[in-house]
Amino acid sequence: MLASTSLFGCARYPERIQAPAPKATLAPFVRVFARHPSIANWEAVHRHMRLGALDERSQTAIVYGLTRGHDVAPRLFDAAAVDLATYAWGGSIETIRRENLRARREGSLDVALRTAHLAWLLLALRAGYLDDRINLSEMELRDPSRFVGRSMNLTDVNFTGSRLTSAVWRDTNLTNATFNAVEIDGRLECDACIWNYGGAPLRKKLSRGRWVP
Amino acid sequence: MDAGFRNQARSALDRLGWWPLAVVLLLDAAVMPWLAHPFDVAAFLTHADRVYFAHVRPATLWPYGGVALAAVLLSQLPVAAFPQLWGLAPLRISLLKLPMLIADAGTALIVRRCAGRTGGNLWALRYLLDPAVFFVTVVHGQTDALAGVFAVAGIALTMFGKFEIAAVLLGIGTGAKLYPGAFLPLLLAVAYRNGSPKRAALCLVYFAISAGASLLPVVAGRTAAFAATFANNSFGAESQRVESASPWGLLNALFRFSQAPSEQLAVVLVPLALAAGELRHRPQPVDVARAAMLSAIAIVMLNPGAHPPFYLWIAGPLVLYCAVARDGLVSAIGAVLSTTAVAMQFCQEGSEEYLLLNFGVGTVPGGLRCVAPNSTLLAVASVAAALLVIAAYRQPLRDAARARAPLGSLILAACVTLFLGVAFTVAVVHAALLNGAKAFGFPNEMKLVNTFAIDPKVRPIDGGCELTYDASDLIVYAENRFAAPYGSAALAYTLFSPETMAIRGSAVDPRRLPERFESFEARTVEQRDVRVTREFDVSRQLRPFDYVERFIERPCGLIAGNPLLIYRFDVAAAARDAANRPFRQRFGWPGNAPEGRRLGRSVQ
Repeated sequence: MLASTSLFGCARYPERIQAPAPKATLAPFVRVFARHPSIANWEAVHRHMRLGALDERSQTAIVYGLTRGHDVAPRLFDAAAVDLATYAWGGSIETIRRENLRARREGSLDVALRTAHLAWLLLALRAGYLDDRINLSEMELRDPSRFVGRSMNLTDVNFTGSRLTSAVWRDTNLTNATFNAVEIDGRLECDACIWNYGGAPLRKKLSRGRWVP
Repeated sequence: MDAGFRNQARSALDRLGWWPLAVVLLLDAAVMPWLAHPFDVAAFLTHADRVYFAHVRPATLWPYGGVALAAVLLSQLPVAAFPQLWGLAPLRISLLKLPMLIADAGTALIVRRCAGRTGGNLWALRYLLDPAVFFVTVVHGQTDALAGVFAVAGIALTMFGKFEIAAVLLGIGTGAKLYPGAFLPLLLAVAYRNGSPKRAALCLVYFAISAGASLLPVVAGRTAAFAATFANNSFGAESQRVESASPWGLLNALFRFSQAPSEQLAVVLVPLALAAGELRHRPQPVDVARAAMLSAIAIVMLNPGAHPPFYLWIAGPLVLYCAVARDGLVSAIGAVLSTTAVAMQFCQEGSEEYLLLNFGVGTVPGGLRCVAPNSTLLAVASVAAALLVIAAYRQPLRDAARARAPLGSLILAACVTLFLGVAFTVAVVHAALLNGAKAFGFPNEMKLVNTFAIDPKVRPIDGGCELTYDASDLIVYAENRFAAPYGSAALAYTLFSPETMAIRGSAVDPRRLPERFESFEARTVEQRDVRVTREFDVSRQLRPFDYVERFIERPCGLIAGNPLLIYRFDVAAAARDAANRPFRQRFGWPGNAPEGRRLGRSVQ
């Protein structure tokens, strides 16, 4: 039991697991879930994702099922977000952005807000050591949930032209994040946040796309 | 350079007396406060803290033998006396490494004594400047050197016929780490051939007594936990993992073959075969030294659980053999092997890890990262080990090599050490200039090693799920009223969805509990990485802490491994409070219960 938590011997670094290449087909149970997102229908999708067989069409269908006009239970929504983040983070965030922009164009505010919530959940689940560029520009990202901007890794996230909720974020890493031309219905501040690697935590507010003390 | 010149140089080095060794040891002492493997060193330090500030029994959670435990605890006595020193990372790291540096000095002196009339300083320096020795003791901060000095002393005494003392020392060494026990078959064979069957039998008895005495304090009452820890540290949670520093990894990569326990059989068989080989004649000192060196190579290179610091085990017997046989070629190949081990460690973790405790994150001298893929390094190590075996047995070429190679190997070792020294100096200066004011590394690492994440065992029940959290042998502050105030517990979620939780019979809505947003991957006791974004404090509900908890969750969660139960122990606060209490008063409190009482059940 000791070595699992108090490892003398340097074995605490997780190994990366490479998933097999996904197939470009839409499985029937994914289609069923997209039409009727329920816990019962989710089980098959969950097993499907664990096999690493999540292609772009399936991602789109799952995001569609979670966000298009259905009243999905919060715990199912969260579990789906965890699976999307675990098995296809990058592809999912691109799909969510695409759906969000489409909803914005179509004027479907509720769908846009649901995709925004899903996007923020994926950001919350983003590992702290990742610094790949994330494009969330031009999105409707308003979400009043309390977890938004709390202890998140927003390194290299591009929020250019997006809409954000007025809030006070905390303990968040904003290294190289860009906020040009964001729209905020109020004030956005970040407390105990950092803006560069190894930097001291500071409180700043967003003003005309720049964080100022 | 002709042989005469080399002999003159060797003699000149000897005429300098102890000074060359003293200078190297002083340089080691100057470097060692600033570098440390963050997790291993923090784990050692926190072990001492648990004993001194929380009155936890010394053997609880200790994975090695009694000698290593004594060294760690004794090294931190100044901090027990003056808890104000708790956060002084450089001082604590120095104190921790000091017994190992003394052990290395002891090994160097044994080598010096065994080297004959000339060249003693040269071989002693060869040992001290060996990359693996410098790295493990001065840079990393592991306890391998303690076992090393007893192993080398035991081998040296075996060579010169003092079998009984050798048995006692090998036994004590086994109480530091288990590997000196691998030289027992050789000792018995040599005692049988050069002494008598009675002396061989006596050696076995002496070894058993000394090994038993040094292991008993840490094994008594927790044999299963000790064995499980050994297997877990060596082969992972499933006892099937081949570590990255083991050449078995090459086979594993090529053929996807891994049977760690069966592979370990080779580790046992090779020393037995080498010892049996010595029964064919009356072994001379050089024969004993050669067999010991090859045994050491076998128990490291063929060990599927080998970590890079294990390569220090080879250095002592190898240099001893080189000193006795005056074998420069083996020395040079050994230096390559040691350098490869250091490179493998950097490949795994990167050099910035070693600056973390003193300087925090953000100090990344990229040049000291991976110099080659790990598989390439493993291949180099394997080739070097094979060459070592061939070189050790070469008879016709021995004289020529003895005349040529020692100085070359010394230069090679000095170059590597110089490279490491310069690179680390640059790194330390760089870190001090850029990050001196933000040294969170030490307290952060101490928090990490005192965080225990427990997976739930889930059982569906009517309308919900029963979650069982078994923290036996982990929450050392349970049943310890002195330590309990510094413990805390939290329910941790990857994503939190509204639910109710029955904790000790009371329904609790987590949203009403003190909460904290988090962002980290928790490595659980089941060795799974679980992302945590939100925690709810259940310390109040779980005090007094028990070893096993059962909660009822309604409705059942859909996210695997959720919620974790995370126990934390605030050693910094314990040390702060200890600083405010007179020394004598602090040790009047009872500690926690004997471990046998609590394994596998809930203690009310």
